[in-house]
Amino acid sequence: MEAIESLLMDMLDDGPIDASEVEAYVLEHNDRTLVSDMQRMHTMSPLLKQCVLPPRASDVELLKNVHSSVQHSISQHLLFARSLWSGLGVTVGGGLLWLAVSQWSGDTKDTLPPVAPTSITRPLREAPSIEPQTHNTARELRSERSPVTALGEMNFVRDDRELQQERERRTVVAKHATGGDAYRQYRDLFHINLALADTNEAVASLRAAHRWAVRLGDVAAATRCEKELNDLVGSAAR
Amino acid sequence: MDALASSTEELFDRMRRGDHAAFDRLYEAYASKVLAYARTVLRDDGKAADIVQQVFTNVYTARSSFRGENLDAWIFAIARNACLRQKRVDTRSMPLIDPDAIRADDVSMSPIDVEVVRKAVDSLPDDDRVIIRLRYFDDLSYNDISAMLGISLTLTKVRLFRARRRLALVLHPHFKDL
Repeated sequence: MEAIESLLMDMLDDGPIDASEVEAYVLEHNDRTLVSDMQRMHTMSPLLKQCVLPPRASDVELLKNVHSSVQHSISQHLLFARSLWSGLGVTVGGGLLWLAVSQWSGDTKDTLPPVAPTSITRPLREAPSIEPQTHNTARELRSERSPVTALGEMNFVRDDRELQQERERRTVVAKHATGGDAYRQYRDLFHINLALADTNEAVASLRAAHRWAVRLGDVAAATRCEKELNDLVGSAAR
Repeated sequence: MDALASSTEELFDRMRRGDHAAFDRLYEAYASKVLAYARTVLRDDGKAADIVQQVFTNVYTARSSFRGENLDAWIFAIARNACLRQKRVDTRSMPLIDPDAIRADDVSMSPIDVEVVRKAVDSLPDDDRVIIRLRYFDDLSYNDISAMLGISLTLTKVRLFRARRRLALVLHPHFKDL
C-alpha cells in the first residue's frame, strides 16, 4: 500500500495532472474511497501550489542577526575551550611534575643506600646542636663579630682561606707575644676561630686571653673572657 | 541538489580545516531551510531563530563528529533534535491544546482561497501540518524534507500523501468542489 501511496503522491505533485488519468489509475486498484480522495486531492493541488510563502524581507535581516550571534557563540566556545585546555595543561603539567618529583624523591629514598657517618659528620649527626646557637655558620660568625676586635688591628678577612692564613700567622705572633699584646693576639685568634667555626680552638684561644687578662690584673677583661667562655662552652654542651 | 550537496560537503571539509569563510557559506546555504523547518514545527519566529543559532553553533562545535555520509541529514538531524527539545520545554510550560478542539468548523466558510487552505493545514495534527507546510508553503524538495524529518524518500511521499488525504477530508464539508 505504501508503494501505491508513494506513486500516487508522485502523480499528484509531479505526475499526470489530468483527473481522468488519476481516476483511471486508481480504478485499476478497485478502491472507490481512494478514487474519491484522489479526486479531491487532485482538485486541491493548484490551491496548495499557490500556498508557497514568498521569502520574507525580514527573514534576511533575522538570519543576519542570527549569523552574528552564531559567530559570537563560536568565539566564546573557542575562548572557553582554549582556557579549559590551558587550565588542564597547567593542572596536568603540574600534576606530572609533582608526580615526577615525588617519584624521584621516593626512588632516591628507596634506592640510595644510607650514607655512613664519617668522622666529620658523626659529631654533627649525633649532636647537631654542637654549634653555638647564635653562631651557626662561618658567614654569620663573621657578620656577628664582637666589637672586641676594636682592641686589635685585625683586618676584615672575607674568605676562609685567608682566615686560616691569618690564624696561622696570629698563632705564631701570639706565642711570642707577652702582656697586653699577647692578650690582644689571643682575643683576635678567638674571633678568627669563631669565624672559622672552630669551637675548640676558639675556647682555647679565649682561655689563653683570659690567663693574660688575669696575669695583667685587668678584672674587666678577665670577667668578659669568663662570661664569653661560659656562653661558648654552655652552648657547645647544649 | 547533488551538485549543491557535493559543494556543501566540500565547504564543510574546508570549515573543518579552519576556513571560517566556508562556515559562512554553509550558513547561507542552510540557514533559511533550517529557519523554515523550525518555524513550521514550533510556530514561533523567535524560537525558530534560536533554533537556527543552536543548530549552527552545534554544526561548528560538533564538526569533528560528522562522518561524511550525508551532510543534509546530519544538519537537519541537529535541527530536528533542537526543535524536539524546544517542544518538550513548551509542552511543560504551556497548557496542552486539545487536538479535538480544532475542528473543521473552525475553517472559514468563505469561498475557497489560499488563506482558508493555510488555516486548514494549521488545524491538522502536527506531523501532517509540518510535512505539508514544508512541501507546499516552504516549497522544499522531497530530498530536503526527508533529510529534515530523518526519514526515507519513499516514507516522505507516503506521509505527505496521507497528510494531503486528511487535509482534503477537513476541507471537504466546506467546499463543494472538493
